Amino acid sequence: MRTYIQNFDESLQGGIPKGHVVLITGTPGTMKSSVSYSVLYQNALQNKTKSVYMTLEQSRENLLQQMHCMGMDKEEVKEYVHILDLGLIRKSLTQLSAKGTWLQVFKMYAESLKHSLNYELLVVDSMDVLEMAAQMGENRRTELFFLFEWLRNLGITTFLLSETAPEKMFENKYDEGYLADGVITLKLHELGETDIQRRIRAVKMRSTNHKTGYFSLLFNDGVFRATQVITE
Amino acid sequence: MKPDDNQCFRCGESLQDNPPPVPKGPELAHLVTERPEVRPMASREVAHEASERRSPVKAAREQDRHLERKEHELAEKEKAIVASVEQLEDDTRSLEDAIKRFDRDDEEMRERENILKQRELQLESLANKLEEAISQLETKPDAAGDIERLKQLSEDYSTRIGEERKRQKAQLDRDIEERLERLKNLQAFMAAAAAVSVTPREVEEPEAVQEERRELTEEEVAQAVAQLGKELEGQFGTPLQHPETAVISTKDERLDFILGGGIPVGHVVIVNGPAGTMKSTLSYYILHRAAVKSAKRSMYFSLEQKRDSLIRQMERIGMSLKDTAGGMVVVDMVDLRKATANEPGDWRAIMMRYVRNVHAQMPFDFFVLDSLESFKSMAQFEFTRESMKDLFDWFKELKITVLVITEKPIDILYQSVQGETYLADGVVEMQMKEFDDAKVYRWLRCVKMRGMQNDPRYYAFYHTGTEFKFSLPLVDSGK
Repeated sequence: MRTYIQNFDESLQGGIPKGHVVLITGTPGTMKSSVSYSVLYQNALQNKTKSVYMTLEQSRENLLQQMHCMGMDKEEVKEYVHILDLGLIRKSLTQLSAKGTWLQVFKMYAESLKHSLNYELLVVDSMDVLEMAAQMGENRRTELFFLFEWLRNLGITTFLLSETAPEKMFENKYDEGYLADGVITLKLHELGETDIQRRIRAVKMRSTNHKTGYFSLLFNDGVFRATQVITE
Repeated sequence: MKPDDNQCFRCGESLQDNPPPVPKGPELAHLVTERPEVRPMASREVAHEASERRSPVKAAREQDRHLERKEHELAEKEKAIVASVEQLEDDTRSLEDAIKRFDRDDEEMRERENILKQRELQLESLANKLEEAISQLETKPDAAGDIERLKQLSEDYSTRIGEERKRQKAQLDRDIEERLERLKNLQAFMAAAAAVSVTPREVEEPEAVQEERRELTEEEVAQAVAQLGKELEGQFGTPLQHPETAVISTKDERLDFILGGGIPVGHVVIVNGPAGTMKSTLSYYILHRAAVKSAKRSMYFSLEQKRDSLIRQMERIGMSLKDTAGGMVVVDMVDLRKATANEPGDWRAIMMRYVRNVHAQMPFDFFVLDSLESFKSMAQFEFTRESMKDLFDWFKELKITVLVITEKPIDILYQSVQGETYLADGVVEMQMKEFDDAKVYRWLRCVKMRGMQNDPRYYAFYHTGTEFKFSLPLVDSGK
């Protein structure tokens, strides 16, 4: 599964292996949403891959507007990329349901969607909200493990957007880094005192011999590019 | 010493270890567990709903506590109801007594009337006898003197009969009046008793409908899934419509460049920075420029600085409210307190209602909330991510562009449970940078601006006394 981030696919030996559950982490403003949407968008354009983008917080309209401004708004994509706003349903459901019900409904819905749409790519924005809605408590790791297993069994490639700062990804509190098949971090890197560049890095990608270093992430006309970092 | 004594019989000292048994209230636990509180499934109004959600674990604990409270309240209520029922029974009994008394009075009265009639009859017969005697006497001439006396006597008699009649009548009237009065009182009392017996029932009713927060059955889950599918159906394959993305220019070329062109309409942007980084001034500056140069209306909501002080401060640096021709409103807490005196609800709800009302009267495009920290502290409950989301949603509903000023250090803000930086559409960070021993510059960068290609680099800025100047910092980064 190519990401169509120029030069980044090469560093991953061609792309993300299908069926992987990949975490995309970064602080605000690191273009997590844009990068993951771009993967769906480019895959739809190039391979007509069907995909679903589930947003739990940002409204659909807002997201569409954002992507429009970023120049990712070609009409032909509408057949393939579906943006679903689960925010409202989340509101109504969490109020009445007991722990676990939300996740159950979410899973069943995603499964029935898989049958009707047969999508291959799924983005969940964001995992922190999913966790909150699912009310994961003490056995977070177990629940996450089952969630990830279930995602793999669906036969889709999944991107989970996480709001954890990359440095903290592998602290004990956060298990998802160990459970996921791949971790891609995005960050704003301060160069010297003044300059700031966007960076992308594949921290982990099972079954590929990926490069581990940071790349500069550039964005132009709806296309992301990763380039070798040039400093000093 | 008896077991019930709470004082030593010898020295009078109180025996704290052996308190007198407290009579227990009625057992009500079973009533409570069967009907805890229910919550509506539909999403409630944002303003109020914002207030009621917490993190899951806390929510569960909260729920427990809530249930306990409810239980306690129910017990109290039950007690009150029992008491009022007893009172009612007492009242009914006394009512019955009163009615009995009433009947007795009635009978008495009738008896007295009968007696009165009999006496009248007796008197009349006596008078007749007298007249007969007089006529008999008249036939006898020698008894003329006697006749005179007798006539006198009979007259006396009739006047006395008249008097007696009057007296009896007055007595009767008084009695009847008294009885009427008592009847009226009884009526009023009955009405009051009826009211008492109705109100507690009304209070009880909503609780009877209450349902437990429970696991959904499989059917219900399937239903929920189906509903979810139905609700989201409309979102498939719909063209990627491009809602016209109007961008509000800040009318400052350099600032627009940093923001990637301006601030898209409807965005919620966080302006972050420690004290003294000119967050307020910059926000005010954007509003003021928009009002003067493109006639945008705006509202500056200051929860900390007094309105007058803020206006004076801004006037000193060349931004007078007068220039905006009424397009810019500055409000502080004092204004708010005045405008919402006597209104119920917590401060946050009041504030939101106030803003909404103002917006209805004078639609504005820009809104500044200064500051988020004070706003959070105004709420009487814990501020969760959901509350934050609800607040932002609420801003979006109003379709206004919002600048939210926060003071927390940005690193802490990123870790904040409320996730405001993730929820916001844009983040502008301001900093004080120190160089060498003496130089301090103010720096700014736009960390995030959804939908815009913002420049994430740091910019140094200063205020010339009339406007802001931004430039890439001239710092030797090698040192």
